[in-house]
Amino acid sequence: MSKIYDVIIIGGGHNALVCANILAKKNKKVLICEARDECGGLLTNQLTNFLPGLHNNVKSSIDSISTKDYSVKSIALSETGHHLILSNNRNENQKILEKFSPEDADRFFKLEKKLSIFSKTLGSFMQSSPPRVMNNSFSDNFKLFKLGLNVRMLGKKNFNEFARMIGLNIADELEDQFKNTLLQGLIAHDSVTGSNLGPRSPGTLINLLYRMAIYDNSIFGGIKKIEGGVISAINALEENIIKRGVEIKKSCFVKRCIIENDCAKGVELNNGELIESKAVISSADPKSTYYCLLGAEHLDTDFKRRVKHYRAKGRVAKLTLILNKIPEFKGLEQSDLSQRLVVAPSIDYIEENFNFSKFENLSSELMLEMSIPSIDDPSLCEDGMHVMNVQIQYAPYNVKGGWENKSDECISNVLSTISNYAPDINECIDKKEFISPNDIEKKFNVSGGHWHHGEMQIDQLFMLRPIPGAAQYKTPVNGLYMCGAGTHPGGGMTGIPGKNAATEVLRDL
Amino acid sequence: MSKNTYDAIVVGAGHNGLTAASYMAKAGLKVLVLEKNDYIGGAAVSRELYPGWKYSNCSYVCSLLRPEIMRDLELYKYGLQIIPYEGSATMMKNGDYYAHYHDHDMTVKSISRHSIHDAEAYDRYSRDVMRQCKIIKPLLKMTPPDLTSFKPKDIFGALEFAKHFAAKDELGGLGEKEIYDTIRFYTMSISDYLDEYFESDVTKAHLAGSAIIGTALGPCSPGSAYVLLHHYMGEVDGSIGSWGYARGGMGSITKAMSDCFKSYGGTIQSSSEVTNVIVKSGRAVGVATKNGDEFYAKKVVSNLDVKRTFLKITDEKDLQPEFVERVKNFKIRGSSGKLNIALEGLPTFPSIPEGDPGGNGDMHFTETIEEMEGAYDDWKRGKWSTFPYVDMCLPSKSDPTMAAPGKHFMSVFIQYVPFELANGGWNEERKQEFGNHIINRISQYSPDFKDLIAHYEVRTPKDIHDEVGLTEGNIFQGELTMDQLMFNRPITGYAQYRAPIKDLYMCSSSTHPGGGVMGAPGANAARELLNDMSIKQKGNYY
Repeated sequence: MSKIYDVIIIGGGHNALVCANILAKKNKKVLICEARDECGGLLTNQLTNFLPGLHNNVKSSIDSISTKDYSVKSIALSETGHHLILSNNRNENQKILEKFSPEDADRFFKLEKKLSIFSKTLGSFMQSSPPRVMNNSFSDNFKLFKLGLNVRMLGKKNFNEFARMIGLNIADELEDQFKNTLLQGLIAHDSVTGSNLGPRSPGTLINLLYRMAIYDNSIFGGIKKIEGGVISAINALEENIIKRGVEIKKSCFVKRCIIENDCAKGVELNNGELIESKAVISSADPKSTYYCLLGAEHLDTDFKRRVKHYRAKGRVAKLTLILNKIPEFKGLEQSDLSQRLVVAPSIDYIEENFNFSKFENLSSELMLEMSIPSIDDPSLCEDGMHVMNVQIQYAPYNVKGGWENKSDECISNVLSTISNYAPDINECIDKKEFISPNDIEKKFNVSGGHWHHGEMQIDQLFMLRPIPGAAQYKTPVNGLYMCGAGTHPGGGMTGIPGKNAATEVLRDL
Repeated sequence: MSKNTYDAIVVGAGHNGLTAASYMAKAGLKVLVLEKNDYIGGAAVSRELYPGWKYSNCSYVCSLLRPEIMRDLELYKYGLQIIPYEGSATMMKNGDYYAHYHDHDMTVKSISRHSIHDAEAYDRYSRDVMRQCKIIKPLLKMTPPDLTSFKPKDIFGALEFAKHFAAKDELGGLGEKEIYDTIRFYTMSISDYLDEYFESDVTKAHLAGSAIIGTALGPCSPGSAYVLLHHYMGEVDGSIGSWGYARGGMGSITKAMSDCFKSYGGTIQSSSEVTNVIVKSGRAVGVATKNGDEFYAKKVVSNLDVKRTFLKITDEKDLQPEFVERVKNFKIRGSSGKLNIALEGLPTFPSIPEGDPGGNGDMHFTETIEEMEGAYDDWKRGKWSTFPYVDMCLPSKSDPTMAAPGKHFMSVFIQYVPFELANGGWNEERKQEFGNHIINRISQYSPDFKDLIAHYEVRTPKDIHDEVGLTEGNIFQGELTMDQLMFNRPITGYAQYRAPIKDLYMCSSSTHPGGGVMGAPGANAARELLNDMSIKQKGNYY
């Protein structure tokens, strides 16, 4: 042990990079230990198509990164070829929705406006660590009071709506509002992706609000993609922190966190090397952090039980197709194919998919989100070839029969689902690569393979995320912090957990 | 005062309507109750549908009825007796059974036959759920505050509400951890909640049953843990969480209530269906019935669910369009059916040992949460469940007044049955098919059951909708989901039992605290109404 770092961050996901950047700006000596040979965690070109982009508050607290991003259209596919194409342009959306039903168009904008008010309110809670209750601390009580006041200040009508909607399921609201099943399906898709809920499960509306809070408070407007794929944003973040003097060790697997007198003193690597630091921040998911890095012997029974029951089973699989020609989608132009194509034609379609996945089965007709980004950005693959990313929702972590036997069935189900819209898809494929939730777990060291490092439901959100009583980026052990998506406010490429964690750590150091 | 003029008219003689009416009559008002059927009681009835047997053909067990109401209305004086029952059991395919008893230690012993781990966890589970029961109990008799109002009354009300969540109790009070637990309890699915305690499938399935009865949620739907509480928060003779049979059937409850009401000079008129509320210059002044009669009163109280109240008997032009839309979107989904069976003898259930108290209470067949969730999926698809969750009991085992000696009455509650079938509406043929499906299911566990049937009645959500008057046959008069509970029930902003029309009140289960033979909505509504009339009230309820 030669050198003592101020902070060691375990894992090099985007939250870790954001956190390191803020700490380094305050002249802290930071080391990042990343187990894989590249940083970015679950943000890779292979796994992530579309993003909200770092939150503005995060951007303003880190060094600026210069990546180009583009707005993306959302296309709800219909087997008839009459697709619903929505963008961030209000006038165009209005025209398109009116074609289906003038009433729907009107109601859509009303709903979006209402939800955006709520998502802004929620967004304002996301910017600092959640308060504890009954803690007899002035700052916590003040935060709670402010929180209540913020909601109260919505006004009578909105307050009532907020109270009603917070626990509502998305299907009820959509069915009350719209006639167009494609529109229902598209919004329902966005409210359930990544979660273990169906559109008829209560609590899905808050998922949509969370999504809107990180996507510019708009239902379809804030969806972006980055030139060169997400990896270019990660590279930019990485460059910035290296300039700041942060050390990044890649292929460096942290075996455990060193604990002395209930206080984190550094980490031990897989090769036995010990590195000392004043604080350790884990950007790993809560289960890995508590069980693998910290060790259950440092936790009391109740806490251990909570960690054990933290729900983090992934439901998303990914299929990457290398294409030798661009498939033809009925009713779509080639330029549309680089946009966000969603197969979720109705609420019942999604619910039925969910019904299968609940019992760890696979549906034969899947809910998909796909795109061929190489049409706009040829740098993403070899000359003359194209890459198509397909995100498969409701692919259960513990699929019956095991993923080693079920992958092929899943791939053929995906392709047959796609062929309903693009009949020539099978002729275009050169190579396929499939990643199941189990592969995500193994490859990216995320226990459960959950995209958000844990289910985003009310009992695992806000002051309850990840574990009630340890939701303020801290753990029961002094000097050990958390900054991953498993902490408040949650998943998605926002950088907010990283930013908030950095604030907490700086306060303590 | 003319003959047809009253202080208050209550529309519907269900248990909540009668409770409200009795409280008002007790306070000295001249009250009229109008009932569309030729019998009173709404869904708390017992009638002789087949000679020699009494049928509690809607609600069938009692626990939620608030003891304060029983005391205030002296229901015991009018013959009400609640007979607690001693246990409940789930029969298993392998011939074994899983039972819970009134006695905690016996339950723990019984669970340990299936899993030692679960038996140990049961203490922790009972403590945590009991704590939730204690938190919610005082809230049941409160009027939910209007959180948007800045009136001192509402602000104090909100603080009072919040206080109960933070109050100390004999279990050590709510600290930080318990508050987090409470938030989690109110938002989680019962399946996730039970996973935190138990490992054995049958333990979880047995307990999860209470979380799905009457609701259009599955055990995996977030929010279903609260529904469990809704079935646990009652009490029989001070024993929280216990259930019992009303001696003489559920009709004895409403009968005692109506006797109490009449003793205070109240009038009940049956076979008088109210067709509309008469509104004059923005005030409800009376009602008109199908027979062409008109009755006038200072106050009108509706015991009908919120949809019937505002979409059927109120003229839409008297309401704001926004309010009407909210009412139209109120979720009230039929998901339960019933089979009421007259038996010539006591059927045997070989998996439950003879004399085991587990067989005296509610009996079930569902062994796993997956099976329950599958039953829910069938409902979502518009079919009755292939493997439904049944809540089956033989009240005549404890209550000899239900049938002649040696004969028995069996009540079978079936969860999930849709209000509308995917392949068309309900008809006599489908109804029989559904009935046979359930009878065959029971026969799998009781070989002699089929031969003992003297008569049976099938009740689909459609029947309950048509006859009893619960929209879509929803037994709670509105889903018990977070968007429809407490200050959101029935409509956010209108949770204080007052309708948007002046002098019109709501006292049905569509209002806080919700369904079940509880009486609390009726008593709360009466209190608000009497407050508005500045009439002083006395009793345990205030």
